[in-house]
Amino acid sequence: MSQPLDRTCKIEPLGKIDSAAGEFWTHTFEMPKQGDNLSAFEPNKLFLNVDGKRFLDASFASQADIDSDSRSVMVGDFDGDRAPDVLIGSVGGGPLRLFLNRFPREHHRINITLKGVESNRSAIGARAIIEAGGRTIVRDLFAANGFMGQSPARLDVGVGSARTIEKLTIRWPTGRLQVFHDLPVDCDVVIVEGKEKFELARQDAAD
Amino acid sequence: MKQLWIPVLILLVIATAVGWWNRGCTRNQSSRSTSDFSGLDETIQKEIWDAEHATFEIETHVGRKLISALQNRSADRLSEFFWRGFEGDVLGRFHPATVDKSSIDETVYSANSDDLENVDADAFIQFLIEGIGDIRETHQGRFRVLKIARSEDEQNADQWQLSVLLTIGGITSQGSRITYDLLGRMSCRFSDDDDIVAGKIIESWRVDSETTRRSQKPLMEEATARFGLDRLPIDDNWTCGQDRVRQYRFQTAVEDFNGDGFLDIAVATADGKEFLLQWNSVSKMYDDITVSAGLPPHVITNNRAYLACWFDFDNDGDADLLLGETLYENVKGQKLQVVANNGGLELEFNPMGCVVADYDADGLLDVYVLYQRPRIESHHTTPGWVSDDTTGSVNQLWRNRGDGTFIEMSRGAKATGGNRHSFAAAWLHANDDHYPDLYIANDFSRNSLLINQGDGTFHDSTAETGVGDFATSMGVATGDIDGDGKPEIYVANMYSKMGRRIMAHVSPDDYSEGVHRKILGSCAGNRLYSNADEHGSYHELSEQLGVNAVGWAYAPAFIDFDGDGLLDLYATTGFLSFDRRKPDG
Repeated sequence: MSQPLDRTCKIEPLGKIDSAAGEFWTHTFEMPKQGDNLSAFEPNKLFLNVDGKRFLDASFASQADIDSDSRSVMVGDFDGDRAPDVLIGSVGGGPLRLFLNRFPREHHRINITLKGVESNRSAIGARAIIEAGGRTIVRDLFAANGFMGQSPARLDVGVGSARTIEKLTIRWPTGRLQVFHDLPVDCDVVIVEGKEKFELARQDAAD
Repeated sequence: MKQLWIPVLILLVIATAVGWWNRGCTRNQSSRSTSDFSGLDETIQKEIWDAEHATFEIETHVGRKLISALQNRSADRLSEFFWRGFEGDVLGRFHPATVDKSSIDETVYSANSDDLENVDADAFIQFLIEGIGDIRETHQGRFRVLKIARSEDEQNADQWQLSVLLTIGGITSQGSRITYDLLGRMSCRFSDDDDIVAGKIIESWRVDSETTRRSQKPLMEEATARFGLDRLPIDDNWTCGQDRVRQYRFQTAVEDFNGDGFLDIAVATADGKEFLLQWNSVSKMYDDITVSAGLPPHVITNNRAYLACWFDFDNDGDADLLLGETLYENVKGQKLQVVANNGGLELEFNPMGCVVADYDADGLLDVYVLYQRPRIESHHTTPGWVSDDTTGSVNQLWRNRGDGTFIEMSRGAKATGGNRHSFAAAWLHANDDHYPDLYIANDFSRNSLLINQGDGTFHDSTAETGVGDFATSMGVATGDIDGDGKPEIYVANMYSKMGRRIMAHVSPDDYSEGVHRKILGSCAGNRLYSNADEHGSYHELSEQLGVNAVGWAYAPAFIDFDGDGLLDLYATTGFLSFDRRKPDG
């Protein structure tokens, strides 16, 4: 027989259906209309990067593992504590739900604000190369939009246990390179394209 | 000839429904024969049907009761599922592999590193009960059949081989969250549904691994109500009534509108509502400033355009807004003013999203707008369910001219993405130059990686880089997860337990050339492409890294939650949920 692959086919079961136990068999496109679940109540996932080679499923521990048919996720620091939070857009169970970051504060961060001059003012497309604590961290500045939700373009960079950033290289969207040395952590710095010095905008109290 | 569907086709049609369902379920849809799909043998169809039905029966009648008995630590009730003469293989629990990360500790015992001990039913039941010994209060439990096949021995036609996953979650006596997963293989024997309902079907059970994860504290805290975000008058599928259910409802964009250092939120809905929510530093809640900022609270569009995108198009240092299909200029962080002639932006029907970057490095932000399909006309053809490169819409690349206007450049720039159904896109630096490249996630068709040539044009490098993926992509995120300075590409696709079970029953020989691979891909789950060599080719590592199985996935995002310098992942999922008492389709 030829296998039907258009959407006008009748769907007919090839055996008994245990309807008493809830088994159902309907046309795919009729399922939502009839209130039948389809990939339903799937909890959102939060995976922790262990070492760059594997991730740990931390969904259960996050409390952000809502099963509300979520569509979008917007990432940003909503409560001003420098740690990234998530705003989740869903089509069920509440349209916008905000989850604040309550991870242990055992690492350091730096927020880098770039102001383009020749480059676009927002410096979208810039690359930050951070050398701290014996390793190099590369982050690109874009306003991510994973699906139907745009996050703010930010360079909020975790640097682990490093207490100083030995070297910061900014590659501006125009291709221009600038290098800075010995930046503090747990702070906001502002860098203007072409200016030799960075501005320290905000710094947390030392531990 | 009588047309018969099999579950695999249900699965795959479900995949196509992602985009299709929006146009209405009752429409008489034109059909388009797809010649490269030859039929499955009827024997295989019946085999798949029987296996899927048996799965439903086992999960429903055995799984739920077995989980309940285990949660209650009832050895007597558990013993009702095991045959006399049951043979079990359990782990010695001598050689755990452990991970300690951000207050979560994980312990894994595996048959790969541990000795197996052959035990009877009583000892196996004790092993199960000991496995959840630290769970004081159970909150959830599931028994899932991952694979199932009838014995090939005709003398044992009532014997079935299963791979199963048992999951119990709850709270420890110290108040910590804890989950327990047991992965194993079992042999069951039953002649009919009545045998399954009776319950005593398990002949043997071999434990392959046990994983226990504990968390000292919740890692996130919901603040929706505290921040005043629980009062948004946006329709919700769970409360709006069945006839108003939608797959998509709104797009959202987050930025600091007024420059106070706090994030504000813009929302446009599919039914024409618009919201601008501004953080109030005094009340510590979001205020709805839609009207006072000059936005219409409701717009009428015949274009089904509900974009939400902040970008400083006029380079004056504040975030301007593309909302719905209208471009607004930010006036001193207080007002949003309509840009004359919409800055030349002429959007097509139903844009799915947009992403901004300065693709030509001229110092001005440009906009790439994604489209799923053209407006439906009576002659329009139904999208094919895989490898559809013809029925979607081309995307738009709007170049910023710096005078407050944009010009559409996608064709000249070779950046249309083809006539595919585009759902999401990400700008990224796929190579070492400073020109942003573009990855496009498409439904029904392969995805695209467009390399920016730096001369205003793009080169489609999908084939040589191997990041084309499969047929059901919904979202994408990029970021360097392994510290090599090259961003990975993470694509949100469909993962289906049913699809995986079914695919175990078919082989490439059952289909025309190449079709099996495409079908396999359409239930393969999220993909992680790692840029691994100097030639720009990528390796797919999602299963190896443990980020494959998300579900019917949409938006992924890379985030360094714990600040350790390694990008973590958050991924949304779930198609349409209606009733927790009903089974999942």
